[in-house]
Amino acid sequence: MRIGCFAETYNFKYKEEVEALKIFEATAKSLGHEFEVTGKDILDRMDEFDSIFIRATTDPLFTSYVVSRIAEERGKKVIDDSESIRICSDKIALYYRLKKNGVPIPRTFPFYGDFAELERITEKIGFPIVVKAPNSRFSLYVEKANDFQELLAITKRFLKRSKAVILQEFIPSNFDWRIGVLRGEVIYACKYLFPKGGWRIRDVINNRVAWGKVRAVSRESLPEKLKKVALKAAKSVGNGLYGVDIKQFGEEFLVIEVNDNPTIMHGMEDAKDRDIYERIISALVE
Amino acid sequence: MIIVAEKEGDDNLEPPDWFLSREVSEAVLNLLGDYRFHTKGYYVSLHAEENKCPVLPSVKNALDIYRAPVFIERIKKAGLEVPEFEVIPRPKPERVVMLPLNPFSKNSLKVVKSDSQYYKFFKSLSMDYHYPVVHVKVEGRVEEAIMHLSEVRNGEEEKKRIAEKVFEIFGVPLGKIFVERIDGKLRPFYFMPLSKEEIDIDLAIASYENWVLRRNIQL
Repeated sequence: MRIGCFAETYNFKYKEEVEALKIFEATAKSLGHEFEVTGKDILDRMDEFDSIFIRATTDPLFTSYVVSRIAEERGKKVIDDSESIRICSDKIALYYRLKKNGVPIPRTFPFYGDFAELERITEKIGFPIVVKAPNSRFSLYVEKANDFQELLAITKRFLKRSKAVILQEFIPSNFDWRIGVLRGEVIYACKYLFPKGGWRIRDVINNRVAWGKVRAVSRESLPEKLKKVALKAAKSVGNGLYGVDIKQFGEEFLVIEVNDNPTIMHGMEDAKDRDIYERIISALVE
Repeated sequence: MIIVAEKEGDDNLEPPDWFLSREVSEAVLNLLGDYRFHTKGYYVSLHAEENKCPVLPSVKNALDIYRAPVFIERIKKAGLEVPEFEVIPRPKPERVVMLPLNPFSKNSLKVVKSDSQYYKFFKSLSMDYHYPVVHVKVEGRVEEAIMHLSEVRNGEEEKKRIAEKVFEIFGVPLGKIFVERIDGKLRPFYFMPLSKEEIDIDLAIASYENWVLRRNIQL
């Protein structure tokens, strides 16, 4: 089988990501398949491949979505499928899915700009409140409001970019679980630690952007309850490849996000469970 | 049946903000005209779907229809004649119609008449060379058809036939179809949202009623 991997220039920024792409290629070859990393010209070369693996950032407004849709229209296997991109790239759609499927989440409300409603929502959530733009990623466009004035300012600013935002209860923690799920199975797990003084993996500390560290945890050692919550959250989106972000609050696990196209960097996400490459390649060729 | 539209003074229509604030359980006709990702029109359809209500348009079709390669791929598959197109990551000056691959701006179809114009258009449509651009090889004249479901106001029969087919394929009620007129034929290649001023709610509702009636008769 010929696998086309769609990547963009930023996928080559970190050596750990480049190494991961090389391992994907080597793994595919060792399993008897071809694997070619290609750029935007993939849209004109689609018929050269049997399946498509998207590593470029996914969003219905980006090229990756067109790549996914054209691949689907031509009957190819594709990770990420367009439905997963659509749900995971929109925190509003994701909220609907998680709620509908009974996935445990912090108290959350979509807000469409009717400011008469805002006070009622704050009474239900309580401060601080996390405000998320629907297309937030890597903690960008995710901010914390400590009082009503801050909340007003943030929501007004975010609503210039979109007609909706998510308002969510703040759950204090020092890290987020990141659980990698593929076709209904946990394939890796990490703790995404927050930088010192921060409350999210990418934060601004003393006016400088700071990233937290990644600590891999063997999937076998995860609490059963955590795995169950992660699988339920992933299933509410689809049957593809996901990174589920979860807050641990005592013995409780609350899903913050489900991400399609999860980051895979060599020495980080693959540090404990090294067969993730083989599993993903197998999913692309079966 | 709930009709969501932004028109004051008509009790039969539901404003989007009211619709989005409640749970719904009926079929929904979304007449907001712009269904692109993150618009209010998009969220009305999403709200209906996630409440398990049949809705026009579906969010999947709303995302597909504004992306030129997906639009062309699907209407070609359904049997409509279309012009050739190519997705171009780097500038390659040609006398073509240029379209954005990524729908960040509304009025963005460009007809190239010179090389200098080409480079200017490429820069703006690719958002400073960040995204690819679509080249459509149009030899005939570019025309548009403002579509209200399967109706085209003051439109010729052939434009109505195209609108009907596009509506059948995507179920997107309102929009502007761009077509190439060549050798007496019309070949569609692009779809854009309607502005509020371009929407005729009465025509859209009448067109919906006709469509339902025709489907019932056929059934």
